[in-house]
Amino acid sequence: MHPAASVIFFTTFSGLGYGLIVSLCLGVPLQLLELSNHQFAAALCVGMVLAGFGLTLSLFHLGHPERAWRALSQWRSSWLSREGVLAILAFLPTILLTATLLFAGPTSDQTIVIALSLVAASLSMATVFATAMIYRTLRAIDAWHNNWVPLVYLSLAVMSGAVLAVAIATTVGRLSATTVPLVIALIVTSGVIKMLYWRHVRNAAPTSDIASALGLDNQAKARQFSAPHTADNYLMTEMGYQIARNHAQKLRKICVGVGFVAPLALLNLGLLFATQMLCISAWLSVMLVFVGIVIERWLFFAEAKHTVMTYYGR
Amino acid sequence: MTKPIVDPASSTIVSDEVKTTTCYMCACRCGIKVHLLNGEIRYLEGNPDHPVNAGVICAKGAAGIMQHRSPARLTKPLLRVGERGEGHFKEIEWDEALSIAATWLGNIREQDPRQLAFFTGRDQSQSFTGWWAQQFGTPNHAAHGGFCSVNMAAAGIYTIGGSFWEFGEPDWDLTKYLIMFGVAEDHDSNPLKIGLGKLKSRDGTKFVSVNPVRTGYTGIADEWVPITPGTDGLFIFALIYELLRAEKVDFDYLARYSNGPWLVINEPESSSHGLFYRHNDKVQCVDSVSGEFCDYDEASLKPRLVGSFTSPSGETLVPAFQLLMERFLDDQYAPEAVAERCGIPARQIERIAAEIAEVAFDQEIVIEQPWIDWAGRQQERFVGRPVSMHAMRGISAHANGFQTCRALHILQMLLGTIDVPGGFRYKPPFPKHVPPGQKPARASGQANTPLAGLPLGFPSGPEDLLVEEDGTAHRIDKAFSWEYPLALHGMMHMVIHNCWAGDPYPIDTLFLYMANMAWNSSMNVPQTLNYLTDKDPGSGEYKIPHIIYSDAYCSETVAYADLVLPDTTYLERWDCISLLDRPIGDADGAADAIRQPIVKPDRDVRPFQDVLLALGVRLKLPGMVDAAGKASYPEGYADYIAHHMRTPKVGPLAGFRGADGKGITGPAVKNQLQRYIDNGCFYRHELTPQQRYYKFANWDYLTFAHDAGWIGNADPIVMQLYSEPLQRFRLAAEGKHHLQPPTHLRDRLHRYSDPLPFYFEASETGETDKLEVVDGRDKHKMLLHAITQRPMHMYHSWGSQNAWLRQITNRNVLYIHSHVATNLGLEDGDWVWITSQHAKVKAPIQISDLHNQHTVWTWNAIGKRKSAWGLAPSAPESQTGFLLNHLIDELLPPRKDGYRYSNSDPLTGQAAWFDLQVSIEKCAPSELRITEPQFKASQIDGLFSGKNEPLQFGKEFERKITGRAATTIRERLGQAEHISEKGDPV
Amino acid sequence: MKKCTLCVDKIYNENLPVESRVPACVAACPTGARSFGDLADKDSGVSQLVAARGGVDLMPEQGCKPVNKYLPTRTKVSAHESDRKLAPKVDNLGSALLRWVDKTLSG
Repeated sequence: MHPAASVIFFTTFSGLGYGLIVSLCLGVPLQLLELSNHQFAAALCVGMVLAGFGLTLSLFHLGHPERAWRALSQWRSSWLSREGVLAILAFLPTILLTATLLFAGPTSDQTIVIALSLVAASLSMATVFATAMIYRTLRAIDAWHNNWVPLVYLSLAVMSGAVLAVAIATTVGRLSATTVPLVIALIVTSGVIKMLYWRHVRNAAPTSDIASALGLDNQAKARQFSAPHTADNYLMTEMGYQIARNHAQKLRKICVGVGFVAPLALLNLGLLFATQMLCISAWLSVMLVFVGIVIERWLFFAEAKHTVMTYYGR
Repeated sequence: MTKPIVDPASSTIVSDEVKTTTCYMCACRCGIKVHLLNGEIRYLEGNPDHPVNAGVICAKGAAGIMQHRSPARLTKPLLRVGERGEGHFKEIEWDEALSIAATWLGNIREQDPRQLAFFTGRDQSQSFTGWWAQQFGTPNHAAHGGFCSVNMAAAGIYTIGGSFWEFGEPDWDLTKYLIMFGVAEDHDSNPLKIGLGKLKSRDGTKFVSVNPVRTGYTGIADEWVPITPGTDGLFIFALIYELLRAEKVDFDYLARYSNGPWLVINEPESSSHGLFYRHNDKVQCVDSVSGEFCDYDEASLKPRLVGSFTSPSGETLVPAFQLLMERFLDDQYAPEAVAERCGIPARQIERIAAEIAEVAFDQEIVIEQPWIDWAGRQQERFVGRPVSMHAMRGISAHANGFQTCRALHILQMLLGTIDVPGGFRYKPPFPKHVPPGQKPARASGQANTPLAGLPLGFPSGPEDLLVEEDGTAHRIDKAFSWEYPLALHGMMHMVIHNCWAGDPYPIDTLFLYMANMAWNSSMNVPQTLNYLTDKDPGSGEYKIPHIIYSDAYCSETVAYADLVLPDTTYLERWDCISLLDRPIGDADGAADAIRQPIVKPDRDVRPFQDVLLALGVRLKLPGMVDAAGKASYPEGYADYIAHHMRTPKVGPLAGFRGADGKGITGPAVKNQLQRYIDNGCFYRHELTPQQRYYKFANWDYLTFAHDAGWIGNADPIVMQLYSEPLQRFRLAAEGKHHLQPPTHLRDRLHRYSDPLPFYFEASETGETDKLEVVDGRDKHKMLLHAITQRPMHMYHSWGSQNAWLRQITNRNVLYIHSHVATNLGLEDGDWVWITSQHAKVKAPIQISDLHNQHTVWTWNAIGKRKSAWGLAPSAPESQTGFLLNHLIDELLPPRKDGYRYSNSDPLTGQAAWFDLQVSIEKCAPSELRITEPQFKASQIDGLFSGKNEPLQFGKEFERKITGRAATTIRERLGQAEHISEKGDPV
Repeated sequence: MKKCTLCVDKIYNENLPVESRVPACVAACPTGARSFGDLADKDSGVSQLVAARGGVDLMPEQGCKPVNKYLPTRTKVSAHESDRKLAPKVDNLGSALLRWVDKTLSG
């Protein structure tokens, strides 16, 4: 599939934003992150800005952005619609929580905060899940039509959000002793999930092939003599994006190195030294994770082959 | 059942006017319906009533809109201002253009009309252009048949009085076994596809395709015979060998309808050796009952096919069939003996022979339809042997194509499958007598004098050749000379070379129409461009002094003209698809058709035929002006179509003639063209059931065809197993004729003008080797045959300017068999140098097993010169698209004495495109992935919209039609009642 | 990008003659390989054709429930029997001349 920048940055930013909200809404009440109410509120705002920015980017992917609102009505059948509805719904408890934190003062009722946090975290997770399900439901794209996809989206969102939350907390607040090891575990887990995804994509048999496209039984061997046409058309440029195998392998290595291994090493290093060191390594990790996920997302599109390309011999 | 939710009022108005005309996106000439909205062409569809296509429309036909809107359309007459080939022109007015042309042509006509070489390409008005050349007085006229398929046409006409495509077709409804040989897929393609659809959907049928490449029709064949190019003759000979040995021959059919029983004089020393034995000008046979000699057309004759007889004057006589036996029962044609050269296992050849025999003789079909034979005898029924054959270019474009095709027709005759139920059937006005009476006309040598007849015809022997007293050719292309005696369609591929070389004589003006001779229609393109631009070192003048070119589009050839006369597109013109030309009938009826202008040209262009008539008036050509010098057809070509009479009975169109307008001869009704338009722009005369088979010996048919002017008399048409005209040439070569070939051509003429088919290796050097020693080039280095096929969605070079069609194919690759690829270490996408004995071309490859393994091939005419056809300089057509033409020399390697023959069939002059042999070598990694040779961009100013912007289509129809306009339109469409029910629509 | 609508603007278009109300590909198909009708109606021509010829969905595993069916290749009765060969009745020219010299033919 054609890797469109708008979609890559949309999913990366919104994943980061919602991941941050999830991390804050779980981390603060569990005292993994020690932030004042105002700091918590400010951090939530950062999360909303990132998510909101991502959602805005997604509009650029549409032929008629002015009609985007219409999509919201189709939530009964469309994950894209559900994503939109959930994205908006997730903002409501988050805004309420922010308001509570800002205006109720330090004496605010922790029950309300915890309740709002749980709702905000759940809806944020649901939004990311809905994003992933847009891809997961597309049967015509084998690389997307599997359960690893929502797992990857969720784990990467939470992981990137958590790294950002750590960076914020080391800058303005404090961390508990278990926070960084937990985040390191998150990075390892999400990295493993991504690698299991790649393994699955490599090993899974294609759903359709030239034999099923021709109505032959699947023992039949068929080879296309020539494509229907030699000039590119919309389908071929949009769905027939091809990336050289060597190139993809190289990018995967960079993705793992930049997005997972390097932050892992940096955070470990940070743990060994003073807080300022952790602060620097956490912010560096945020940037590396971001770059890593952008590469991951680019590959997620570029390596995915639409079944329609079977008709073009690809 | 689900009910669709449709609002009938939402039915869109697709067109406010529908006009019929004839397609010109290839040579099929299907009927089309053109839908117009607000005077703009909106879409094209097949005309369901039309005899050619019955509503079918192909990719090309439907894409005609884009041809009509091609950015490569020429817009105004152009006069060259720079050097030839540079593409610098100034736009001039028509009056100036016509007066320049008339001055050049007038001067020629004053001196020697032969100084005009007038050749047309894929011209569909050949009976008109030929007539124009005749009136001008030059014999130097032909269309593109010489480099297309004259071998098929000539062999067919000289053997069975018809051929394939326009001349005949398989009996699609009844045939059970079809063998198709190497068919070009843009020829007759819709009728073939319709027919194959019928054949394939009947049980108990089989379709065998003999073709080096398995694409197109071959892709749906039940059996593919991957023959090595040029060896079809061997395959056919082996089939005949098998059939003869097994006595699977229709002896009765041969005795009745072929010249098998005709007695041939067998006296090798005599000057009548090999000619038929005649008594009172009638060929004689021996009657098996009486044992007496008998006229061949004696009704009671039961002739002998075998035996040796002595004439009253003591000459030994044998039936022609016996000579054929001697030729074909030779073990050199046994399947085992030919298998390796054909690339076909002997067992497969034997099996196919057995299958053919079974279908022909055990699955006979009968139509219970009484008919009357040529002798007036009532016959109860039509009996058929349901084996049919079809062939085109794969056989034709080899130097041995004529004799191979003769062999194919002989195979059909032996099986008794010609014009019988289930077999091959003639399309009227065919069959013709063998050979037809019309002879090629020569120039009188007088100024301002027309030819006595049409430039092209059918020689019966040396007397009919167009040669000078010293034996040199009379025509610039050397057609009908001792070198190419049966070049029935001329030799357009030699014209530019010969004009440049002044061989046999220099000419003044080369006048070309619609033939891309500076690119894909010429062999040896780089050298051809040289011929066009070469100057005489002494005078500094071009060796070809004047070049006039007419075309609708900016092909590669435009840049080489001195004067360009822009033609219209096919939707802007009148045309006439005449029975005098290349008819469009089917086996059950004769048909012709017209084109009518659908829209007016939006640029300053004129139909070429109008221009020819206008030039005719300026030159005062006979037939084009009356005694007072006034134009005979002041309204132009439409006027000519409606009012010209070729004979007192016959005009260009057959329809709506005679007193009641129901006949096909006699004076046309007043509004003949309107009658055609009202009838869907075609006319079809259906044969009666008793006329439909055995046309060559069918009294009803023969008398009707004679009345219609299709044949000179109603005598039976006897198919010629043994060809006496060829023997006449052979006798001349032996010194036994009062006309004598030049000594240096004697051996060649003798070898090839064999009255019975024979096989010889058709290679660019092979056959020359056998005759004379050639220079040192080693043909064995060139191991691979190289051929081209045309994709169904392209018509020669035309498709590449069509936005929709070039989407399908805008680049080509060389297909290489996996065996060859493995040996050479090649992979898909590699680039190679293709080397012939003559030149090199760089091209990308693709590995494929869908072709004969000794062969490489590619799609033809996809490669374009940079910037030609209104394409961007970066278009894939010129970057990776390539032509094999560059590899093919138009001349064979020199003989010992330096003389070079044309790279053509030695009898018909058919260009031997497919004799090409090449070697392949992988490009160095450092070499650019751009095809070579490259030529300088040929950018011509003054195209219709040569700007590099996307071609928009459809925007103009988006405006909704509502209210009164819609009602008016609906009323016009006869939908008024419906409107009143549904209220205001749309 | 547009997906095939089976020429919805043609097939229900009351401004067109009834026989033209078929998708363009069906009208144009040279070999008559395409048929058009209502697959939801068991008695329609296309339904009967599909039943008779064993029509199938292409890529059924995609679960797209396509609205068209493909008819598989016909099985041909005359398959290639590899060992068929005509039995020769004459071996050479001489024997052929002897056998055929007295052949009785009807003129």
